[in-house]
Amino acid sequence: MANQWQSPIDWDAISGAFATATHLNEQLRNNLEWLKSRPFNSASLTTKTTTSASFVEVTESSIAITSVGGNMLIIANGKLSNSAAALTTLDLAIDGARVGDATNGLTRITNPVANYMDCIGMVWFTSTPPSAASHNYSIYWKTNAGTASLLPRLYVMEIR
Amino acid sequence: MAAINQWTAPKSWIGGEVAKAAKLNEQLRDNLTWLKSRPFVAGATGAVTTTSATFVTMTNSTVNLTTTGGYILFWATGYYFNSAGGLGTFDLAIDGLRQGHATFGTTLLQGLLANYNDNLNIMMITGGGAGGSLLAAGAHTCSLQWYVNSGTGNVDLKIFAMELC
Repeated sequence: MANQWQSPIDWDAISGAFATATHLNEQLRNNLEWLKSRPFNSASLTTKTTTSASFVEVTESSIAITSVGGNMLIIANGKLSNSAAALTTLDLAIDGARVGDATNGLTRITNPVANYMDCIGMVWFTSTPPSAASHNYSIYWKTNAGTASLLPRLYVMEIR
Repeated sequence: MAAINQWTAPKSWIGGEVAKAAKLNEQLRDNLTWLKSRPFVAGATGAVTTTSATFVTMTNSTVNLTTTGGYILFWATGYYFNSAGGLGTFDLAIDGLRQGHATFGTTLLQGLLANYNDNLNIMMITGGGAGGSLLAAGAHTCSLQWYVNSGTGNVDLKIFAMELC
């Protein structure tokens, strides 16, 4: 079962040096199950649009995951278009705090002509892990003209 | 608590053997800790450029990872544009050895128009050694290399590397 990670113990500290069923369940069963079934969540959205010139959260893109304090792998991909020849900028966020550049986000695409479709992919590993708790992960975006359209998927896993 | 990078090959236990604390620490505590906290490194290039027509190491793209000899997941994500709409070619190098095609690297992006921004992802799961062999356990350097066929290439990339297994 996921989310039952127990910090590996120092067996020198076990009185009598015998591993009890409690030890084995906690240290072997639960930790092996956690390693096999790490905390994970995902979202597959319908097409979303924005005309915002400043970063806003992609509608319905926020997903929650309860982690044990490890590093999170966040992946978003999908197709992007714009009703105008415009620059669209995208980013990922944890609890509403964007992880990319203040202006340029994590990635950006110039649509050379109206309704030109392109692919997007963003990946983020948290080098400073979120605390052991429930956190929200989402996609942010903005456009400098027209109406941007995005058909995204979002995946989050505690990976280490 | 054991530090990361202390993986020890799992032993074969024999009948009647007493599982002593030292062995349990080595086989359970340290190996579970390693599996939970595998070697990992992150970096960021910031906004960097090149006009090179041959592969050169991308500024600020070098990260160091000490491994136990397993496969490395490498990922760089960001954007690319070129002042002349030129073609940018990108590759991953481990210990200076490029992993991709001699000419086409791991991936490439055509600028299409001057200063046209495009999404760039460079990803690989690699042993890293010559011919796809696994890297030896120890410290290794991962870096990006790139070149352009015209103009000035521009990127801003986030870089991650982790030993998978």
